[in-house]
This record gives sequence, C-alpha cells and structure tokens, in this order.
Amino acid sequence: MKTSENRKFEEEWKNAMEGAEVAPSDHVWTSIDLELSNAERSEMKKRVLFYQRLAAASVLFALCLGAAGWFWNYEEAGVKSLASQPVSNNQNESASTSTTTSKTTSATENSGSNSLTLNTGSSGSNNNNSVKGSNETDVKHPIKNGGNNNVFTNEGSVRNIAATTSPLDKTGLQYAKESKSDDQQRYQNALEFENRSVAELATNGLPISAIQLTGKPVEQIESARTFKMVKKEDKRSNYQDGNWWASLNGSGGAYNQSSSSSSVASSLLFQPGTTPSVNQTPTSREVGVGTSFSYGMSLGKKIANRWVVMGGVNYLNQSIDYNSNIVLQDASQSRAFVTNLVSPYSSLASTAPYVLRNTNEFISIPVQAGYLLLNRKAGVQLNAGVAADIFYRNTMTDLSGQFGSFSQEAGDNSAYRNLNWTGLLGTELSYKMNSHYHVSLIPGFRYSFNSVLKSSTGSTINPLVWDVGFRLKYVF
Amino acid sequence: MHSEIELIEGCAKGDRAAQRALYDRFSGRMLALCHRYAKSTQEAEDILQEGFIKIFGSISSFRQEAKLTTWMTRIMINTALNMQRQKLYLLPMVDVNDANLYEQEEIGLSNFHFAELIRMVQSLPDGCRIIFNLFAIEGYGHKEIADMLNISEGTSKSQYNRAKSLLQAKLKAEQKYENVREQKI
Repeated sequence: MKTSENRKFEEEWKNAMEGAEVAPSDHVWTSIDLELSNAERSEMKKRVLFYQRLAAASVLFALCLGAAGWFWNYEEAGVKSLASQPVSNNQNESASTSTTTSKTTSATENSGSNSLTLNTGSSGSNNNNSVKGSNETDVKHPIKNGGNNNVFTNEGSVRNIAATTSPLDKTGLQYAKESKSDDQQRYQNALEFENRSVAELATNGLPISAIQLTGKPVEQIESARTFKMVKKEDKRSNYQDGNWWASLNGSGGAYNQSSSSSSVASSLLFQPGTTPSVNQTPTSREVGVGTSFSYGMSLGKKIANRWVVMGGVNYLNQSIDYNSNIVLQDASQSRAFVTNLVSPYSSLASTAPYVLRNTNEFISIPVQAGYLLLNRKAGVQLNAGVAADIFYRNTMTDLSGQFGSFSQEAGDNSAYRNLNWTGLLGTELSYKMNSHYHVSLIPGFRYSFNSVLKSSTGSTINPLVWDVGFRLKYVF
Repeated sequence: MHSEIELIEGCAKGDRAAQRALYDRFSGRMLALCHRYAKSTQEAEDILQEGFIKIFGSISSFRQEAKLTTWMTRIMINTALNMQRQKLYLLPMVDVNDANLYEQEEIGLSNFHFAELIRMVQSLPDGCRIIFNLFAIEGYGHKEIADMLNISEGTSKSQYNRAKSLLQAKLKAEQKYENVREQKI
C-alpha cells in the first residue's frame, strides 16, 4: 500500500514536471556565444602555436640534416683527398727508383693451379718481377685506386698494389720501400703470395677460380667495382639530372595580418562629405588569428645534383574576423566594412559593434629554389623563393547577417595593391612512392614584403602565413 | 526548420547558426530542469549556460545511440550536480529520521501551477532537493544516486523521505491556504 502510494507521489511529480519549459533570459545565449567565441579563439591560438612549432621544428630538423649532410660530405671529401695523397707519394717513390705502374693489362698464361705471379709492371730494368712457374698466371698489376688494405700488410713484394690500393697502409709502404731495393726479396714474397686470390685482394670476395675460369680477372674486378659505385650512386639519387616534374598542391594554415593603422584612416572618416553620419570613433579590431588556404599546380626541374627550381600558379585565400563599428553606405543598403580599408571613395556610417569576416583572394605565382638535403626514399628539401601575388578580390561579410556583404575586385577603387611580393620559406618532407609519384608535406612561412594595402588607406597589412602544404608530384 | 541530425552535424562543425537553433529548440526544457536543481533563477541560468557549453563542446562525440534530449538532459544533470557538489561537500548529507514519514495525507498536484511546484522544490535543503530530483523525477535508483553523490544508499533513502515529507507538508500548507482563500471569496 505504502509502496503504491510512494509510486503515485513520484508519478505525480514526474507528470507535473514533464514537458515543462521556462524561457531563458536573452543574456544566457549572449554569454554562451561569447564563451564559444573565446573557446574558438583559444583553439585557433593553439592551432597557430602548433603550426609555428611544426614549421620551426621542420626548419630546425632540416638545418640539423643539412649540417649532418655537410659534415658527412666534408668527411668523405677528406678521405678522398687522403686517399689520393699517398698514391702520388708512392708514385714519387716509384719514380725515384725508376718504376712505373703499367696500365691495366691482363695476360693469363697457362692458367691452371693457383700458382700466380705478380708483376709490378715496372719499366725499369731492375723491376721485371715476372715469376714463371708451372701453370703460373702472370697478372700485371691492374689496380689504380682503392682496394683492400689488409691483404697487403705482409706482402712487401706487391709494391704497386700495396702502394695504390692501400694508401694508408704504412706496412705496405714500408714493404714497398724495401722491395725497391731488393728484387730478389720481392720475388720470394711474390712466390709466397702466389697462393692468394687476386680477386680476394681486389674485390674482397671474388674467388680465384672465377678469375681463372673467365680468364679476365682484372676486368671483372674493375667492372665489379664500377658496378658497385654505380649502384651506390643510383641509390642516393631519386632524380635524374634534368628531370621535370609536375605537381598538384594545396596548403592550409594560420594567417596574421601584421597590420598597423595610422590616423589617416580615422581622419578620413571625419572628412566633410565623406562620412557625414559618423558620430563615434571608428574602430576595427582583428579578432584572433585568421586562416589561409591555397591550392594550385607547380612545375619543377632538377638543375644540379642537389638543386631544384620550381614555379607554378596558386589560388590563395586569406580570411580574418574583425570587430567593427562602421558600415559602408551605398544607395541600397549598409555593408560590412573596416577602418583599414577606408579610402576617399568610402561613404561610411557608424553602428553598434559587430563581427565581420574579411576575405582576400589572390592569384599567386611562386618561383622557388630547393636544396635537397636528403634525396632517398624519403627526402628533405629546403625551399626558398618569392611569389608574385596578384590581388583578385576582397570580400567583407557580416557574420550576424545584419548588414550586406561588401565585395570589390582589384582596380583603382580598391584599397588593395594589384601586385604584391611575398617571400617564401619552407621545408619539403617528401616520400617517393615509386619512380614517378612522390608525395610531400611542406610546412613553411610566407611573408609579404610590401603592404597589400595602397598607401592612400593610411594603413599597412603585411600578411604572415604559417601553413602546412601537401604536394602530389609526378616525375616525368 | 532543421532536423535533429542536421543540428547535430552543424553543431559538431561549430556552425554558430546550428548551435543557436539547437539552443532555441531545447533551452526552455533544459532550463525547467535546471530550475529543479537550483536555488534561484540566476543559478538555474548559470547551470544552463555551463551545460550548453559542454553540449556544444562534446556533441561531436554524440553517437546518436540515445535520444538527443536524453543525452542533453544527462549533461545538464551532471553539470548541475558538479555545481552543487561544493555545497554538498560543505554541508554533507546525513541520515535523517522523520517521525511523520508516510503519515502525511496524499495531496494531488493537479491544482498546482508549475512555478509553485518549482518554488517548493527550490525551497528544499540542497541534499534533499538533489536526491528528490534524481529519484522522483529522473528515475534513478538509490544505489545509483549513492554512487553518483558518493554517499550511502541509506543516506539517499532517508534524504529522499525527508524531501518527500517536506514537500507534502508544503503542499498541504499551500492547499489549506488555497481553501481559506476560496472560502473567503
């Protein structure tokens, strides 16, 4: 009984409250709207901060890679120079004893057993080291550069091989010196050496049997080495010199106007005949940070080992919100407007503050040079250049819909300059999907060298954009 | 007129017009709910504002498995509870024994206006008011309420009984007042 009474009590209250509505005060939505705007602004700030950090990190990453690449190249160059130096020393040494390394020739005689005779190839009378034995192979020394250092350490007889293939091998040099004065000793050493594989000496792995079977060990060694060098070069290079590529690209990011206003804008508002109805201080303040996006196509060419040039055409759209308390008056209606764009042609009136979105559209023609820091499956490239931004249109839209939109294309009446020059800096992180298609992520900056506004407005706007671009590239 | 799905999608994209439309459609109902948990109109509107901010912030995660109104109601209740939690912490709820429990005469609510009923609910002590709303109106069980408010089930029951007793007393007093007034007329 009590339970059913309880239920009845609850049911009655539930029914009494069901479907009830109470109209909230107007200020509740105003507060919500304000809080949402603040949240959006802080979200935008976070996004801007993200883009800034991404761009900064990319540039830093690219610089580190560049430094590492430079250091690596420097080291490699250092090794090369060291490598070439001892060879010439040895050649001098050889010259002093009237020995000259012969050109690569191969003469296989009676190839059979592992018996091998090395000829230093000397033209001097004291340097005829050909040792003939049963089934011996006479190999005139073919090696000019490079080789295996270790195999010569105990082979004083192979003077020229040691000298040319092991420039840093002091033992080899030492033995070489000794051998110059003692052909007989060289002969003995050569006999000791005869069971060793020439291929092992030269290519570090090619079996003597292969040499003997082909009868062209020297060419094999040379070609194997050349092949290795070519392969190594191929692996490093994504592009062939002179290859053209075309790409579709787009980007999005944050946009800051870096604007300043002089008193000219305000004074224009009060000039008799231009702004008869203005009765308060005109102010137009940017709200937060704007957005920028672009899309277009590019064409590029690799002009040197690490240098690329590229150009293209892009549609560029930059928009930012303003708090404004002026409107442009024309015959039909009041239109959203900001003080920055006031020109003597403007007829303005004051109004309660409202929020408008100012959008500028450009056709951008960039020309950039790129330096390839890393050019493998994944690539890193630093890009820098300039863009000619041709102003197309400016549109101001009242977000509340209270006033009409104002739109004006380039021309004498426009507050914007027709042509603007912008500096570009970015890092291109690319990935080679196959030999033709590459995709890239391009974080970067663009900054307008000149104000996009005409001097007659009394204001300056130098747009600064941090964006992240995407590029799909087809390499021909 | 936007459909509910269009409103949800618009709000998820941050479209201010869709947010305004959603607010216009549900704010009245939600404010009525907020009034039951608040002590005053100002407090109710604060809950409403905070609740809608949360709704717009998390609507992109709304999977439409429940009805939109159910989801919004839950957010509003949680917002109200969060805002009242400090009061509950300062004035912790304890078990209460009311001698008049279940002894009160049942009085129907049909003669009372919504505003009068709300006023009666708002006059309840904080703990009683919240538990009364959760149990009698929202339909939560005492176990769930105990978990939500971090109190014992017994406390929830005793606080509810106290709320009920107080409300019945108020209803009776209001009815007597009405009867006297009618007789005078």
